[in-house]
Amino acid sequence: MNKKCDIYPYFYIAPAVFFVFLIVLFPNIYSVVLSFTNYSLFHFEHYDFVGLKNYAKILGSAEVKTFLSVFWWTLVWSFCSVFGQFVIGLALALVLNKKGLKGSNFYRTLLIIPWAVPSFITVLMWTGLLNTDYGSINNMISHIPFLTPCITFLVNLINGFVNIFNTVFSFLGLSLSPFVMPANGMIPWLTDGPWAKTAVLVVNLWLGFPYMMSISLGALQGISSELYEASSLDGASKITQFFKITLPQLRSSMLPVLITSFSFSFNNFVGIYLLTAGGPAVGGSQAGSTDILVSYTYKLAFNLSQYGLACSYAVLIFLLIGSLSAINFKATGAFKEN
Amino acid sequence: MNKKTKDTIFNVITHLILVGVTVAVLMPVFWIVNASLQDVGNMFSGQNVDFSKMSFGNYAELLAESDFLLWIKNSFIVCGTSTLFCLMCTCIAGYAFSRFRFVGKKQGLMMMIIIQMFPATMAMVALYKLLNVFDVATGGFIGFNLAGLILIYTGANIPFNMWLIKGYIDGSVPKELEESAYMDGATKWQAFVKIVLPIMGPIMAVIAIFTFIGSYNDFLIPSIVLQDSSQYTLAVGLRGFISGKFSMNWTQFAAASVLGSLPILVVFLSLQKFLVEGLTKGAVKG
Repeated sequence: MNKKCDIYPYFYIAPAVFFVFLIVLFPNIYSVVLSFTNYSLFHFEHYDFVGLKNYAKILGSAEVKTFLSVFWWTLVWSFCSVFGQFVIGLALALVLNKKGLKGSNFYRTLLIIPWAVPSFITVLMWTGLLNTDYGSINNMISHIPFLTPCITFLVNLINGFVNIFNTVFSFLGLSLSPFVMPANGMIPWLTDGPWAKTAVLVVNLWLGFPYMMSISLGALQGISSELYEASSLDGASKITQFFKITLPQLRSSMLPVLITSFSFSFNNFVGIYLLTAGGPAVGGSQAGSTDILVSYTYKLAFNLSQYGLACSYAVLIFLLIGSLSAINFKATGAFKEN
Repeated sequence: MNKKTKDTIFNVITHLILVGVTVAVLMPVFWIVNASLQDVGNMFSGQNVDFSKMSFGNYAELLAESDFLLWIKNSFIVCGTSTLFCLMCTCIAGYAFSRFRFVGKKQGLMMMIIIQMFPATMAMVALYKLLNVFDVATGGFIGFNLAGLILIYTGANIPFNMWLIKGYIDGSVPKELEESAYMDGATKWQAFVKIVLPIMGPIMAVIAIFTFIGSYNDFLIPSIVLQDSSQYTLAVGLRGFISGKFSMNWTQFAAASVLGSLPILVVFLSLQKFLVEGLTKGAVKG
């Protein structure tokens, strides 16, 4: 074959490499550069390097409280989303995977619908359904007898725990806000902090469980049936089989999926921004109570024109998510392919 | 109780649970379809579903009075064009990365993996600034408009898709095909275009569908890029349509949701097995 160094392969890869440099590589590096500048509305044409000032600001006394509370909520949001989606998805997959179940494909097709509809449409749709005065959710709650007293009871129960938490941890300056239950039973889903957090999580569970269900089904079908046959000969119960065979067998295939889902939720801008726009507002902070790091960064950049500061946040997000992806790549051995 | 009755009871319970879950999951979809068929005045006054007053009036008004068709058209222009550009770039590059040996190949492949770790939000401020520069340089041709959006989607989708193409050629296209073409005197380019491209149909279809749906569903980038309402894609347009105007536009919004989801829903559900398999395999492999 050709021994001399040919140049024709470079013509083949040139367009792709050009676009990748222009649209992906350069902007990402440029964002890092901008994070060291005071680029903002007031320094739009001429901006200067300010060193680590943006990072110092994030960790400084005025902003650090916002940063920590947004970061904490981002972690809670990502973890609860992934865990909830996985539990619901796996439970349904286990039921649908049962041998000889009639109509399994029919149920699966119907249950996949929340995943198949574009997510911006479903999230916008939920803003209407969760509307306090006219939304179908509150409408349904008010029409089902005993549901409002049940919810009130639950709310009081949770608020009890919130009170205990606040008393115990008051010395650390930590406090959770209690749920508010209006007298007319119209729950302020998107306009009250704790309710809004509940709402974004519920919507995200609804959006995400079909994906987990489909993947779990695929993974379950990959487990050899001999394992189950052998163990039932040994007298193992279904529950033992689940914990000793199913879960360990799922571990290797599901762990990368869970990590990827975690970083997806971490960056799930649409799930937050289109539902609550990060709100409701929190006093003394530019971030709202449902803002995750990504939506807060977006707000900083495009609503508040603090581009430099937004870039610093973006870099922090990248460092957090990048290290997670690195672990994931290592776990799945993606680098070994070449 | 014998085994058969036990099985039957178990089966009935399973179906009851599944029906319950499915109804609960599809309730919001039902509400939206229902709202799209109701009159906006009746919707909020009478609380009960009134099947006798259903009509397609909202759909007619939506198509006649709002910019819905324009948003759909813009979305299809952006997604179609960027998918086509992306496919052209990735097929050629993926083939080169799979078959040819050249200096920098390993580094190039590595780069294509590593940049997939950057979240979209990382680049957004810089992309905004980059488009600003293009806007001035091209006299507004490529800038805060559909062309700018096409440019971004083309580039952003290349790394992942190129890996899919390379993997497909590595695994499913036998080298002997091209070698016999070389024997017959074909050039490298001819062998690629005439022999390899025609048998890449399946992977190209998968990539085209994923890329199209992915861009169609995106809200983040168009919300940054598009500034003129005549350029809005469906995602940005619909958000403007409903936010702050809930009670006025809810039923028309519901109609728009149904119409806007249908193309994607139909493609997704009809190719369900194919797509879900591809997605889950890709996901499980990382």
